[in-house]
Amino acid sequence: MITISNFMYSVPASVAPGTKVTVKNLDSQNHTVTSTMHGAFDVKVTADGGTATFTAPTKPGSYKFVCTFHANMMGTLVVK
Amino acid sequence: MSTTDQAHKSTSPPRLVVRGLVALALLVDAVVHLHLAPGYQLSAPSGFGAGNLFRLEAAVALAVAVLVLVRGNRSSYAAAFLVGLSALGAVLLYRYVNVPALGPLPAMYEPLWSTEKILSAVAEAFAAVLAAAMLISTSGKTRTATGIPANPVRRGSPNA
Repeated sequence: MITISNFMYSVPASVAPGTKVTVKNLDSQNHTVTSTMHGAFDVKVTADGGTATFTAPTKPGSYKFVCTFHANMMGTLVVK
Repeated sequence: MSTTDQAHKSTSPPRLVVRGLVALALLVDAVVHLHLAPGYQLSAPSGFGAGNLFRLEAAVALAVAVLVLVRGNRSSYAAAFLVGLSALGAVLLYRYVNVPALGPLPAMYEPLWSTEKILSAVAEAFAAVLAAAMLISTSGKTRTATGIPANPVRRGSPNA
């Protein structure tokens, strides 16, 4: 699970290819988990405990992602 | 425009520069807010919406910037000071205090700085400080314009 708190992502060390990844947003604002690699994954997570799920890419690698609403929020999802 | 305002219109070269800088700072503030508005409307849409508040702030900042450029009087600097100070106060409040949604105001707590946020905060502070300086520097002229002559002429003197 990816947790968002205080405008920061808490990401697991790695996930298996094709895994369903749940994102939980503990902030009071909506966020997104949007891969910088177009089309890899993109979910919006509503504020105050909202959750969303996406499927991790099937190809192993490091996938950087951002919140499209907040320029300073970024993380990396390692798929292996 | 009142006589007092006309008396304080900034026309000397240094004052014209400061006048332009106040307007420029407000313009930078407005542009940053307009740029950020779409994303923040989606991230905090409740009530009036953060993005719409950003657009409102930008509109007021732009209007005051034009006022400063066109008039350059004490009223315009007072408005610039209030816009700069209130916007700076808001960004600092929502940076450090987790204020919940209040009526039409959405929860906008964001415990981090971004480049754009820093830029707008600096511009707001700049506008407020320069506008305050212009207000202070013209405060002496206010007394003159309101009836107390700066260089009183003695009755019976050759210049009377």
